[in-house]
Amino acid sequence: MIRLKGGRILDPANGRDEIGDLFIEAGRIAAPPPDPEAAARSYDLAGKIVMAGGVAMHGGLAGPNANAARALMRDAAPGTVGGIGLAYAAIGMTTAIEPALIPEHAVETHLQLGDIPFIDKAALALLGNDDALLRLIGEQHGERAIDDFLGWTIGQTQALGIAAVNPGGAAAFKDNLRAFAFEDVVPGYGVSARQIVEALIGSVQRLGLPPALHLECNNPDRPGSFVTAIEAMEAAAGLPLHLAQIQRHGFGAEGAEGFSSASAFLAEALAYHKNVSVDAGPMLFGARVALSADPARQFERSAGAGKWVVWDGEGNGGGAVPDRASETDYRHAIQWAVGLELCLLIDDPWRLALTADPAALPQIIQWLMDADARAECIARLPKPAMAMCLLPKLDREFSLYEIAAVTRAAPARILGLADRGQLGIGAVADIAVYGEQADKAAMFAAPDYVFKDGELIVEAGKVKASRVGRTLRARPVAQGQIASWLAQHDEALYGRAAGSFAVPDAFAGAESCFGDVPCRT
Amino acid sequence: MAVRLGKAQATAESALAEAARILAGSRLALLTGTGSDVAGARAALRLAERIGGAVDFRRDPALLALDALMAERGLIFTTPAEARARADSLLLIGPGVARSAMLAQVLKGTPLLAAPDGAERTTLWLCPGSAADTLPGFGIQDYGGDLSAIHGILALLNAAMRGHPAPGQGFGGLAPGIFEDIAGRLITARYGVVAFSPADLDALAMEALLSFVQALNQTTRAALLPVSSDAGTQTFAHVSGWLTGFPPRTGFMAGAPDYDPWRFDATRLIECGECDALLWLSSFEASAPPWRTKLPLIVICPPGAQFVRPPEVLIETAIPGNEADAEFWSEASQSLVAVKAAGPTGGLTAAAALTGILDRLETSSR
Repeated sequence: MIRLKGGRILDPANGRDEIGDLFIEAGRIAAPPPDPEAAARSYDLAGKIVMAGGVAMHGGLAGPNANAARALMRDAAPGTVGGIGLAYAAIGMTTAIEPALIPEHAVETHLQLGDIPFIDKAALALLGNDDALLRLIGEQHGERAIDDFLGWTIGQTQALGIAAVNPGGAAAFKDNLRAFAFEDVVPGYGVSARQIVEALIGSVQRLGLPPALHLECNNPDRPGSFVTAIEAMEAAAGLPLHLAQIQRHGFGAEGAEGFSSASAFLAEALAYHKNVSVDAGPMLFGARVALSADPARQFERSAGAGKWVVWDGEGNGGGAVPDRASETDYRHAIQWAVGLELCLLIDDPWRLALTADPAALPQIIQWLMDADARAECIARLPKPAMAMCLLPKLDREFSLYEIAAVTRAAPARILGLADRGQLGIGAVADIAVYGEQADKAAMFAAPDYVFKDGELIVEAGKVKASRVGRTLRARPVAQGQIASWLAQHDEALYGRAAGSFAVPDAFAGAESCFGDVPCRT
Repeated sequence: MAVRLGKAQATAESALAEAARILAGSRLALLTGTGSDVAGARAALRLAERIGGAVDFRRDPALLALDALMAERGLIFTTPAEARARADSLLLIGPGVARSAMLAQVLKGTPLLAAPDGAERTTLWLCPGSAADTLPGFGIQDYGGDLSAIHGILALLNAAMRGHPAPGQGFGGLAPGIFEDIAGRLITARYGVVAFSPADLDALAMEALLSFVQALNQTTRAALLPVSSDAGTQTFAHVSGWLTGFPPRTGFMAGAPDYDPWRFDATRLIECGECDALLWLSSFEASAPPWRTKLPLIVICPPGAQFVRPPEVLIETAIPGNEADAEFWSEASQSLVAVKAAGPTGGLTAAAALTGILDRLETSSR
């Protein structure tokens, strides 16, 4: 038994903010033993902050789009799976999600996830631009067929849940439609984004998948994009829905540049739609590679880029486009501000997951916790841009408790991962210990200790133990009646066997890396 | 499956120990060959990292050129399945596409997604060379053209698409009207696909083709479909990508991977005498190194390879997907797939052999 003694435990899931002890046994948080002094190992955490290991909601960890980014970054320092795992573990994040697994590339995605060290992973399978789903909706095969198809997809791709990125829009882009709004119809199917979203939300709910539909709405980054996000909220009609990368839908069309912050509208709509959760990924300035499973948006982005990858898959596809976010650029300044505004305006931390590249997250936490740090950055940005934002007027500062909520408790709850993001008895002993500092960026960049499954993996910036975590998946009950329809469909259209991309329970010569997450009942 | 030390039959244990001894005693070992499955590639990279070796499983200059194009210019492409289902206009470039089973699958399909009203696909073939007539039954229009003039041909095609006419006398074995004809067909296509084999084109020609397709996408939709079939090298490039950040050719002398296609060219390393031990890994086919060399040689491949001289160590292994479950690159889907063995033999896998060598290195260094 390990004792973490006398730290300040910040555990919003269990309503705790108190000085106390934590006990670890067999990789889990254990009840205090009769004699705490008998613990085999004890860490004195007086003056330290103790949180559950972080849960990164929207990672961009693996798969063909990560490969494309790697190729384009060859002259810089391309990321490796080893680097990804280390970067998360080093800041105390112990679970990360690949939010856009492309079913046809499920095997490679899982092979890569399996090679990411230290942390637990999971993938959300992308649907909503694939011929099978569009056909099932358009030809009115009914809810049971759609449920069956989603269940089948989860099984084949060993995913935790279902995601959609620009639903209908990536399919329509193959028919040369460059923009796709919520009521627009995919040519050849007569199916709108609304119908796709409604079908997926309902089916995910009926299957009881641990996370709600993880939706990246249509028409991101555009002026007026907030309207699409609100349309999606309304389409959910009270059922659980998660809107991913919500900062890309926080834009209005006001001002001389026709591009402004609309985060107040979004935040107000979210306050009303309590069934909707979001993740927000405020950005940093500097070089970046935009990674997405939305080929339409990636092509739009490619204008002016020196090099870029865009590809059309059977469903989504995607691409990678390197660029640079500049402090002197009006639009970039608005984009930066909107990401932070949304976090500051959403007053229910349980429905907000803060998500960012691990290298950026500590800086973003500092901006959320420290209005002076924000003001310093605002002062460097174009004044006309800041005039079209709310950020300069917002003085809210996140508490450590709220940070623990939006980086741990809320993302775990939104994903349906009951055993983590919290420090209750029986929870997975994923724990991050930070030394309290005035400089929150420095504090969250360098935890004193990180435990994964009760094992000390990082101490004062040094790796103490290398390990490979599990890949979390759901196993919904599906009827399996869709198999014969799919077999005919895939043979006729693609000349392949349905499920030719299936991921086995264990890869060749290896033990199974999967951990099962119970479905909601 | 045999294990040999020189000409003599040996136990797996002694072969693994001897391989480890050779590699431990080398200053720079070269790992090369025709590649492996995912587990084999992963084990080979771990071994290379451990011994500070050089890795070249990208011996095909055409694939290197495609890698370079991707890194320096990017790419716009689609998948075989989507091309089959959607391309109402298909342009084939060069003779190499005819060897691709994947392309035949694309041609067999009806583009139901491009033409629900039943319109047919137009397939054009530029510079088919000796491969003309090898894809009968698909209604392909053979435009002829001289592959050795491909740079000029693609330049004129790019010009025609932007509305500039070709010279009156034609070019590269093609009549002047052909350039406008091809460009016009792709401009009016709903979804055009341009298929080529990297083996037929150099870097400059591939870049011209990319420019052509990028420009088409300003007004309509089009994508490239590179045709490549080599499971072992493609698998290796993918695994190397996610583990090291780079495709081969890489070196691990400094610990961290160093990507340098010139420096870690297997042939150059051998001819210049820079490496002093050779590990040949060829999991999908029984093949021997093409070089005449006196370097100590470790070979890991299926039974049946013919050697000029017996390797110091030969470890025969099960063929991935055939004799052992494995994950590897599928030409048909252009993605990694997991394949159950058709007839599992329980024979040693490449990954097991390489891990066995690595384990013995770890033991001997303690």
